[in-house]
Amino acid sequence: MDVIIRGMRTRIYREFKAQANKMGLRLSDALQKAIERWLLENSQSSLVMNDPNQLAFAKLASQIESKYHGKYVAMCGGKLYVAGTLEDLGGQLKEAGIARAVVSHVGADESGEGGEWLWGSIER
Amino acid sequence: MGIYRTLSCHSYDIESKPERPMIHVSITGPATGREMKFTAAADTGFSGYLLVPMETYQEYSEFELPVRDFLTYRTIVGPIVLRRARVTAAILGERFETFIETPLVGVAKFLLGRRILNAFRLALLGPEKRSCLLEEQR
Repeated sequence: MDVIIRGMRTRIYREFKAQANKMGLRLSDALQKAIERWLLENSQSSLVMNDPNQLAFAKLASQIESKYHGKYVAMCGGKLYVAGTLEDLGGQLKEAGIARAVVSHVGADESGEGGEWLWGSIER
Repeated sequence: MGIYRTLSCHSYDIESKPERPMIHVSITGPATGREMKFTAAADTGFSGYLLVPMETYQEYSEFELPVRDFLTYRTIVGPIVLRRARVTAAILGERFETFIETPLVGVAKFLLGRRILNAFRLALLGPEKRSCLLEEQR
């Protein structure tokens, strides 16, 4: 979607644009990353982000996405485990004595809008 | 539409007024293989997977998804983010990979959402107060 933002402070905008340029990012991509981070820091999700495995995964997220697309990955104790199937990944974790990890099927898990949670679960 | 045979029926929760359809579910933690059995309300108003209370989630979220893959649901009190973790579930002996979910804050109960319900042939026999899983007769 297209967004128009009015009233931006010139200096901040220029600095932001220059930094995005330096990092080889389009302005829209840099702005999106900044918004995502801000949302994460200020939303309820920040509660979960105290989990060291979640923190470690978030730090490596873009690297994991580009390197392990289609694979199952697990983050635990600062270590990354990668496998082709969930069963193989489970086997690796079991072998390492890990009973809790952040696990992702890279590029396959849906994210974002889940739909609705309406009246069905609400009772008098 | 063909002819369907009932495979298994579950009684409604008659404590709820009006009574609500329930389904027996079991979940297995993917790392430890620990299993838990419970009944969950069939909730067609919930578009998600299997909603569970926080205590159950904490026990069985052995493979939690990264925060960015938590889904946001529209509710009457605004958007709510649900934590999500991989489990193996079983309904009527049929095992499948799915997700348990729970709100980041607030309370939750056992609910089966449409992402799971839509995979089953389910009949709600209101007058009999029974929800039945069906199989197509060939």
